[in-house]
Amino acid sequence: MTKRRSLLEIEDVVTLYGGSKRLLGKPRPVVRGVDGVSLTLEAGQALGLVGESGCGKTTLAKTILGLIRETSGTILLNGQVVSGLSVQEARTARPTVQYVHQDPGAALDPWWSIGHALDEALRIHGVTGRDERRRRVDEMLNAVGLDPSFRTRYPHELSGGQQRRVGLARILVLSPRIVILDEPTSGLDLSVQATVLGVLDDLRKRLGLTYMFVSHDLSVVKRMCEQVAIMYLGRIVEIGPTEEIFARPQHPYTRALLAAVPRLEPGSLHDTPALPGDPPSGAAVMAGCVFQTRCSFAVSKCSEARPPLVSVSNEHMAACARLSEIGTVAQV
Amino acid sequence: MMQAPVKPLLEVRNLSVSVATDEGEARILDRASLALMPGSIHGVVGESGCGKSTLMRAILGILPKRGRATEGNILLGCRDLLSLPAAVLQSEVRGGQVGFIPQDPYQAFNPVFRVGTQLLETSRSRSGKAGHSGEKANIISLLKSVQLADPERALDRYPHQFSGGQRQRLLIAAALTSSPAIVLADEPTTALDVTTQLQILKLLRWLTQERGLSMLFVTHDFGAVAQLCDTVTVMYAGQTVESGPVAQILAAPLHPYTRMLLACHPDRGAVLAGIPGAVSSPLRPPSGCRFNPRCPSARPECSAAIPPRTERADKQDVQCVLYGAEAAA
Repeated sequence: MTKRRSLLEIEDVVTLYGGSKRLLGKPRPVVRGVDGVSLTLEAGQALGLVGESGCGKTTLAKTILGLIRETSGTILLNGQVVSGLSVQEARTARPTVQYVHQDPGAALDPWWSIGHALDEALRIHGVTGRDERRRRVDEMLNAVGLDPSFRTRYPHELSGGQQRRVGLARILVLSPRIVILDEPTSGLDLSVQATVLGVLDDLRKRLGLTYMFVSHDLSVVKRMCEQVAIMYLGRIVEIGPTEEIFARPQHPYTRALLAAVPRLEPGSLHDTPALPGDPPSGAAVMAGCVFQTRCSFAVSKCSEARPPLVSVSNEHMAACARLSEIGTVAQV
Repeated sequence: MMQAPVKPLLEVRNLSVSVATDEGEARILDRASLALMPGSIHGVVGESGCGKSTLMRAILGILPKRGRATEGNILLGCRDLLSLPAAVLQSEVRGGQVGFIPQDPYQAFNPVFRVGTQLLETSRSRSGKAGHSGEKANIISLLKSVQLADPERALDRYPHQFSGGQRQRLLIAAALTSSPAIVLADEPTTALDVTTQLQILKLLRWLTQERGLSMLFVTHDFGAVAQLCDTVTVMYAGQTVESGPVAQILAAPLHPYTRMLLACHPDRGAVLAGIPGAVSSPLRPPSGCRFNPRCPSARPECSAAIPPRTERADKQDVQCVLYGAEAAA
């Protein structure tokens, strides 16, 4: 095999929650957080992981990070198998994967100065020289656009955008290769979001980082990522180059999702049909396609077998049993 | 197009609201103005802390204890809400002509009471009547009109048994129990996913047409404004900087703040850079136009006084010296 190794490859990863016995009564229902996901991440790429609340995107991110143990499946980092390990072993085996918390304001200790928080991260990861730690902290604060004088400040003195940058600096100071960004701009005002996105884009280019961008905001993903994966109820229903997917969405869910995104064009409400109902619970056991309960194209064969991801063009893949029958709808 | 002069249903004129804090008086609203025309959906858009929620609270007469309106008028029909006694506000405005849809569908319900109990209580406290069966029928018909599945059984269920989108529908029904003419919606879709947001926006649009409502739709999301609203007011730091038809403002924003804010949207803007600087504190606001410290077109007169509101023929009003009478001369 002469195939070029990807930075991260995950194959058929399943993460289940629950199922444990209670002292009395029935066992907890099994919830399929991640239900057979395969994807690869090339070095330097930004992959957007998109889906609505409860679709399993954060579970997938935490499984890749090693904070949640996968139930089955393989994870390869730089060609090395890093799956099948306990949570502690998994974190040791994946030091180059780091995670930026959704709400860095809550992730920072209110009693610790910014410098202390960044220093601690380096100390935990075995950087012993005090001067070296100090130098790297200052460098990183500069890199995220904060003055080194922020070292002595406390989290409550910072604005939301500054807190995000500190959260980012705390991770980047560890020199990761893959950064998982969990909703990096949720809860930020538009003008602050633009600043944070600008910093993220700049850092990726300068430090050669690989991003996994977990978000429900499609406008942001479209702007930031070359690749995008659409998740629904624990499965990837469509994956491919961002331009391709936004121009020619194939899966009925992707179509509905893209159509629902508010664009800066007035009066688009009338022509967009709303997707009916809510996603079913992750505990529901469903044969076939997970989207069948809300899909306007669903027929009997959709409930027979789980549709595999099949290639639409080059790297663009979608998981729908009726791909060839439902035609293509060009999006704006 | 009808050219007859239509009077606004609700009009806020030069409203200033101050809140006494330990560090002094914070001027949250600084001569804010807006007009809601009958049958239309008017968006109020701005970033956090710009005073959009305070504006809603002032209209409803539920300002925080230490807050008070220091100048201006809120005209509902021919009455100034600021001069009405609290009892009239409670019985006729909040309970009657004006309905309110709160932001967070997860926090607005009491988790230990059935949804039906809570909706009936709302309706009873508003109408003051006791006809139990009639009220229940009324609520069920409201639940039908907000397109909630299985409305009869919904009344016996608890809030946690509903999804976020369903809870938002319940809150919309609660706001409609008094058959209001005006509905104030405070970020009603912010906590929802995009596909659910689309359902709710379509429902709001349909309800306003069906029931002849007028709506003030407060949001930070220009996308939702583009989808739903007819007209919009843009707020910055307690001032209303620009207002007009949505299509016009999206296509050709006039105020520097509106222009810079729209350029921050991921769909726009060649480079994502944000707006330099930070929103000033309402405790120590800059004088004049509050955007002047961050504005690339700022001039000395910007900090002298709030620029006059330029009322243009195309209904796109802007509060900026660039478009004042002197600028035209």
